Amino acid sequence: MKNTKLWNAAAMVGDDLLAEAENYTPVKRNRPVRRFAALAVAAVMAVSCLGWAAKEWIFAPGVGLADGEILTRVNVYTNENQIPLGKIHLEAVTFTEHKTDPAENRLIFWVFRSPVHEMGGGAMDPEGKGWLEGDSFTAEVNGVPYRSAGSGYSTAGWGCYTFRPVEDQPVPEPVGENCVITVSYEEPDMTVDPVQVILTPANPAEAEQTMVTGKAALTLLPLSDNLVIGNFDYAEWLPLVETARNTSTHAAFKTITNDGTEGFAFGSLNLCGIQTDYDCVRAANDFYNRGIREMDLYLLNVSMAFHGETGTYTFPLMEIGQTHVPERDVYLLDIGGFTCRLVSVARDEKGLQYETEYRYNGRDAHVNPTYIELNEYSVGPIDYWNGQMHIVNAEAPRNIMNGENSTLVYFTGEETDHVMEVGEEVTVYLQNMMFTYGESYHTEGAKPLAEVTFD
Amino acid sequence: MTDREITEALWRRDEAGLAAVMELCGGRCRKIAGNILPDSDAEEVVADTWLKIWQSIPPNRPESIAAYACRITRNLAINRYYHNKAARRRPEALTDWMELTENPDLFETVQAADPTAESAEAAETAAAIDRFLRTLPVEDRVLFVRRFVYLEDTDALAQRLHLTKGHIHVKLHRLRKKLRQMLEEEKLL
Repeated sequence: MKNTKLWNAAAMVGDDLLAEAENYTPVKRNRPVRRFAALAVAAVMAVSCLGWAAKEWIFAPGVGLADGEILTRVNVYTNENQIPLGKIHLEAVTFTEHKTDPAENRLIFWVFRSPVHEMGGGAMDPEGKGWLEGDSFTAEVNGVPYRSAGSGYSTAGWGCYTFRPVEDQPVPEPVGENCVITVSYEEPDMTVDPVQVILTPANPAEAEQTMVTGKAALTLLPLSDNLVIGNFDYAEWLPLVETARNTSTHAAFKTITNDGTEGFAFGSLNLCGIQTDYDCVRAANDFYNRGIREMDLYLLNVSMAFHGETGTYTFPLMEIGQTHVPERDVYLLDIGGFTCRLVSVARDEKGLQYETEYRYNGRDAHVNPTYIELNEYSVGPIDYWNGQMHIVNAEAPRNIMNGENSTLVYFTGEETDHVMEVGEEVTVYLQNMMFTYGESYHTEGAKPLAEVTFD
Repeated sequence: MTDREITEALWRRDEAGLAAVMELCGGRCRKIAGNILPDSDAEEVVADTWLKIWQSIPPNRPESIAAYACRITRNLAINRYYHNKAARRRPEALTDWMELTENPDLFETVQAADPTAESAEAAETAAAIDRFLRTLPVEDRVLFVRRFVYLEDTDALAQRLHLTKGHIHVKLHRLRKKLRQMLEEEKLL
């Protein structure tokens, strides 16, 4: 291919791409909270992870986590000068017995970059394709060299990378306590901030498509120091993970802190990485800032929506109570200067959808659409519908993240077949909404939006 | 008018077809030319684009009129840029592209090339590049198109995408690397 033809070919892209490039408007990034938020996410991810793991691992005999026990300890290196990344040394204090995946002969590492920096692509994109190339990672586990098994997927600095031993030697099993794992990341033309590696041993347990409630005690450590690391491997749990790109799950967590305070956290897991909405981060910060050092985590519900497909998996676990749908009218819910306004309600073949508008102090609420600088902005309403809690699917948050101040929220699950009767009384409860616009706002518990008659 | 209708009109030598092209693509072509040329030169290049389209359809039957027009404007703009600057400095987009293809003579060969020339080979490559772009995050895709189709320079890209110039350069480097890998895998490079 002659170079001129290649040059000409580059301009022969689709009209939609030309139009997209012409009309694209990014949302301005807001950087100040990145570092803090990024670190905070790590703690919350740990919280989320532990919730997943409750049934299979935490309570397995001889395994893991007693109340307050620290699963692993990771030293976070800071680098103010963006020097080239060297080796990150980790010391695993304890491990559960499931440290490897003999079936796949692999370890799975979660890699987290903190904080987001300017050079090198910054945070990751919503589609979960990070710029941290998986083949830039090497690792040693108890002296056994590992190589990355392929490109990783990252979201906002989080990446999941699979490692296999060099020369296809068997993965050592078990990894053992006090295992020393060194993960290195180098990229010649890039400087990156140090990588905080969170080790997530693969779990060869069989996948289950039903969610569980569980109770896991965990300790939140100061965010500026060490982080508690969770222990899960949803790759085994979700058999579709290998084929379902851009798949998101959302999970709601009910938290009961050691002082008896109940709260809710909302998280989502992107199977190409992990993205945690800001409400989880905020919740973690709130808990810690209030002096709460232990909490019980109950995993309430998981709903998965596969992008581009119609399959939706909902695992309702908890009936909340009566739910209602407002008529096509506008209702206001004020949360400390943040306003959620119901704009419209409509039905379509997916079920019920409502459109909301978010503003903060009268201004449009914007989020960063490209870089999931984790949870600077996030809105994750969790709604009740006919007695079962349904998590909004992945589309809703993304609408917000595209810089629009309104979102279509779909109710998913079997209840979407419900046809509203004229005169049926409905109320929508906006259970948990987290929003950040410079500062953050957090609601706890359920606040009714309206009780009206569907018309 | 659809692209097909425009093409058919041009084949019939119906000037309504050209008017439709101008309406469809005028703004975009002016932007492309204006990214590297002063206004007066940009206007001339755009006018030359319409002439080139009139002269090249027939025999050509481009699938996308907009892309076809952009391509012509892009190359004419580069030619005019070269002419104005007496080859002292190349447009950034070409310099970047040269790194992809490792061809130091690209600038000169682009000038010499006929931007209206169509070939199955180019179409195949274009389809591959199109597929490649659609795998990218939107910002990267926009960056690529605005750099290599719209000829936007680093300062403008940085401002448009709210990124630093260093960041732009790194992103472009990675994009070129990925594209090159794809083209090599598909034996198009």
